Amino acid sequence: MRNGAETVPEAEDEARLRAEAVAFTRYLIRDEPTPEVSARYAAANRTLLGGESTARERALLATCLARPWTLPFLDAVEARRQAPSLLRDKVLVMSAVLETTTRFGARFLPLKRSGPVLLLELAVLGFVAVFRVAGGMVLVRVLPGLRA
Amino acid sequence: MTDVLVVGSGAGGVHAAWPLVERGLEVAMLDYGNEDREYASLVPSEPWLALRTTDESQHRYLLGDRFEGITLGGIRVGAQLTPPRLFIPADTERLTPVDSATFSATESLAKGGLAAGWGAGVFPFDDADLAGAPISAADLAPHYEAVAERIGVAGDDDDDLRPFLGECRAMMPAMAIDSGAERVMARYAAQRERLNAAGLFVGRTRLAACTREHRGRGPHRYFDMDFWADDRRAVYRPRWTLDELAAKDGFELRDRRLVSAFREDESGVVVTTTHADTGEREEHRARALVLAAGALGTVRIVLRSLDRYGTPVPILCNPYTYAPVLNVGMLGREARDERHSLAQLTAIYRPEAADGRIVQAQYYSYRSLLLFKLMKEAPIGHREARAILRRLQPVLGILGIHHEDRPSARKTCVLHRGPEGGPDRLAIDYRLDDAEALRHDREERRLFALFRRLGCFALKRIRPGHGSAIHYAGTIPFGPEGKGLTCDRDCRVRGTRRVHLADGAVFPYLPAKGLTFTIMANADRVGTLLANELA
Repeated sequence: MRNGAETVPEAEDEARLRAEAVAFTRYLIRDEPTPEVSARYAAANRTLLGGESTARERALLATCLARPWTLPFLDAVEARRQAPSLLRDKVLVMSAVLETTTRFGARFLPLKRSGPVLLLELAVLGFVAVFRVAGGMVLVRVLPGLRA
Repeated sequence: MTDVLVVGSGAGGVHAAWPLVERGLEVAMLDYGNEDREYASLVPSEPWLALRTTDESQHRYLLGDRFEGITLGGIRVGAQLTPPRLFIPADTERLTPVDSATFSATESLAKGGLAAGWGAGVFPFDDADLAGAPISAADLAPHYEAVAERIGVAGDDDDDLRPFLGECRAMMPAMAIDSGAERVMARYAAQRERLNAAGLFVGRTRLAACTREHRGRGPHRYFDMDFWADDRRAVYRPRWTLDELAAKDGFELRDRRLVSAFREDESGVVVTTTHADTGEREEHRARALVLAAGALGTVRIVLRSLDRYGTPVPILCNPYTYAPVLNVGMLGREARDERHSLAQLTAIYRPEAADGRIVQAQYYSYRSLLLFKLMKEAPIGHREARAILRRLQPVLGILGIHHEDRPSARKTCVLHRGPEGGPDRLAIDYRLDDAEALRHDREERRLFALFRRLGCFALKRIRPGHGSAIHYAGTIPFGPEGKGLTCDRDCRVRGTRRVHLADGAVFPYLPAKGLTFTIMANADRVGTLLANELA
């Protein structure tokens, strides 16, 4: 069992899972999930993520839901840690659910770009990714309960 | 009385059974027989991109009804299996447990065995590849041809791989390669002499797939769905041969049977099984037995039958590394959507002063797998990962590298009795020595350098762990007379009268080439020898 772990109640609150689906969909593709997508996300959570979580993991999740602007930063800084992360797992599950729908799936399909445009976009996205990690490192230090 | 019992319906079992049935012998195949009853009927016969934008029920087979297609945590062996392929390793953790801290074993109790998810690469062995075996490439040659005709092989018979793979008279025209592989081949053609001098040889992968109609299968339609479905049965699976066998007189499939052990008496061989559904213990009698349960399944049965619990035997598996690569030749170019999902190209690297030893790599494009699996591995936030990877996907390839494997005292498996009422447990200890690990590292770096000349830049080197190649071999190898737990030239287990092996267990050395096609050819040889003896 991970440090400070607690068992999440088996029947996780449906409303909270739907709120997560909304927050993660807005973060990932700047759109609203359909009720069907939210329900599938909730079902996937119950199947895959019904186990234990640490106090820090719960604090991270609560912060992202209370202050959605922190989500890109905290997701980025968690990616850099390369350690088990409930937040990362939940965002990944949302990505998988969105990617396998006809409505949102096209936003996960390959994009065709000319060489110069591709290089320019990659440079901008790389800069944004680094900025997110740096911002996330600051947030983890200043917000309560988020230090590893 | 049944003439021959064949254990296992995979690459070895069906091809050992074929010549026996053809010669009019009575053959019964014992098999556990798991199959996909959930997803096959859900996958439409449509191109990958078309169904992604039109099929409302795609989540069912892409993620699975129990979300088994979403793997959380670190990279693990078998994570690449899609939900429609997860029937392949089903029930093995429970029924054929393996204990190991150093080796991840994947076994199968499925119809068609592990080859139900075979990458379909066809790589005949030459004499150097058969080192330590009392058979030569010439002994296997007619059986390679027979199997190639049976399964359907497509490839280029006149490229730079021919010196390594030999001639195949039954070969169909090669599968078309995709845009990314075309760019690699264009660069290869421009520098061919220099690359050959450096030891690199590249060509289209020979594949067990039909580019024209063959035995009621194919031709392949380039729907890019090969990881998800078996459209038109164009890509070979042992199941297709099993279906052909089932239609023949003299063949009987006794499925839902888990084989425990064999014993010999004056009339032949007795095999004990447990029925998967009823739990009933049964005995099956025949004049001879062919074990083709896979190198790990077969060694379990042999060690249990000969009461050799606690005795270490060797195990081999090709060390495997893969690397996502950027194929810069694709920058700014449109990728054709019509493609197959299997290995596009095969590269053979022959290091200097390697005494014929080779390293083999396959080049794949990353197109018909889901993006979220790549996003998971990116060390950045999911939003930026999605945006970056969508742009990189047309230029992204995967290079899978296999090394040879030789037996050593550090690569062993031992069968232990299971706890009361539980299955026996196979303990595997597999460690490379320092010299092997250093050589792999050096040769991978050299291979990456050569691929940079082809416009492919490796982003990251991933070693998913020992056992990940799923090419297991050498557990009851060919060996000299008098040496226990080995087999003779006819693949007869020493100390038995008519118990033969027809899977990877017999090979004492694993070249870097994939083993599956050679398992099939050797199984055909074993079946032919046995048919000559019994008919």
